[in-house]
Amino acid sequence: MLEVYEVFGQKASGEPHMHVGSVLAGDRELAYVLAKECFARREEYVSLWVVARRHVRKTSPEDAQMIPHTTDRRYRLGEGYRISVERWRALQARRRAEAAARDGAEP
Amino acid sequence: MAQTEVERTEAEDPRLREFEARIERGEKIEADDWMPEEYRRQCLRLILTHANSEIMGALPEGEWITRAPTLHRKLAVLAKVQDEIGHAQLIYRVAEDLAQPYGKTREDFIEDLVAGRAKFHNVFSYPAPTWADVGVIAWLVDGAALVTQSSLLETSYGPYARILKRICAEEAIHLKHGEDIVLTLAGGTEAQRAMLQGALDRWWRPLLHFFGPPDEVSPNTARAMRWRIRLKSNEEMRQQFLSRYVPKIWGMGFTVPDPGLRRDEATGRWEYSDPDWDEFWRVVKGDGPLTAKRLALRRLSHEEGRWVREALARPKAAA
Repeated sequence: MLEVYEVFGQKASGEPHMHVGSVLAGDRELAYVLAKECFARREEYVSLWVVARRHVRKTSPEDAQMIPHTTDRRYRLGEGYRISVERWRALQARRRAEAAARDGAEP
Repeated sequence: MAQTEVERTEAEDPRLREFEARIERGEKIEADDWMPEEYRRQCLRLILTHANSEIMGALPEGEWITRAPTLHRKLAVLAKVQDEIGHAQLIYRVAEDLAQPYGKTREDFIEDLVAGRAKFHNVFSYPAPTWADVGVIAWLVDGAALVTQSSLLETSYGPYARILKRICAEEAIHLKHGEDIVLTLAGGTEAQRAMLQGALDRWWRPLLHFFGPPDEVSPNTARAMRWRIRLKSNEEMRQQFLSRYVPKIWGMGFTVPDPGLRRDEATGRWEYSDPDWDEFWRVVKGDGPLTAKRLALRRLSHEEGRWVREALARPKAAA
């Protein structure tokens, strides 16, 4: 029986394996041979993975609707901490002002 | 009486509004997403014509593998033929996922093709009698194909757009290979130059036909554009092709067989003589000079390769 195998390719050591397409094959070994033929004929890959599509748990179109969150999740994201730059600046200004006040107070 | 689910037309389906809003936002449609039946049908027709053309496109050049003038040229033609078949493999895979609700597989698509029930590009029904034809095919037919395929890189159907990136990169190499053959002949002897001019004369009309007739404003085309299945009209692509290649042909000191061809300096548009659209329709409907012969060849390989496909489909049983 033929079945669909998803193909993932790695372009260089240390890079992630990226999805490149799929092949139709009778078993995993032949899927691998076909993947080499179809995807690595001209483009260079250091590694290929093939995996039967039926073994992949994919996000369904319905789940995808849930991805844009409505709740505030800035605490999870780098941009939520952009204020730190301001805080550094304010803190340094305050310390300079304090030092100036201290120097001025001295006789 | 209330409408049943079956009676409700797609036009009233709230999913259609969401689908069109997604396209409007520039989102890609994936194989598992809901899509209107008409979108699926139009994508499938476009994608299958492309896949069939890759398979049929390998035939005129395949005839030249044994006759290519040097070992280097043989290897390059061999690699190109291998690429075209490889492209068909990738595209049929995308088509199979799209045709899943119809239960159609690659085997069905190929059966349709070899039985003459499926469409493929007009250019693959013409003979390639000289080595110069191989150069002109690889330079200008692949050049025309690249104009079409690049225009589809932004298509709204995600799986096709992704596979096209890979295909366009390889087609660009074919183009360089073709340009190299053409430049070699153009810089050669009088006999070589005459052979090249002959090939240009033979291929000019099929090349103008390649993009299809100037756009009739059919509801189908309008919808394909609105849904971003296609992004450019036939005439826009033909104009792009003419702008890119006519100056190069003239610059090499060669001509195209159309005394009416000229660029309108004011509008920037190319004017050309009527290329006999009746011939185009005859060819795409299966009555080109070599359509029957090439399909018979394709049918023969399909039959002779059957045992291999069957063995590959159940390797464990065969072992």
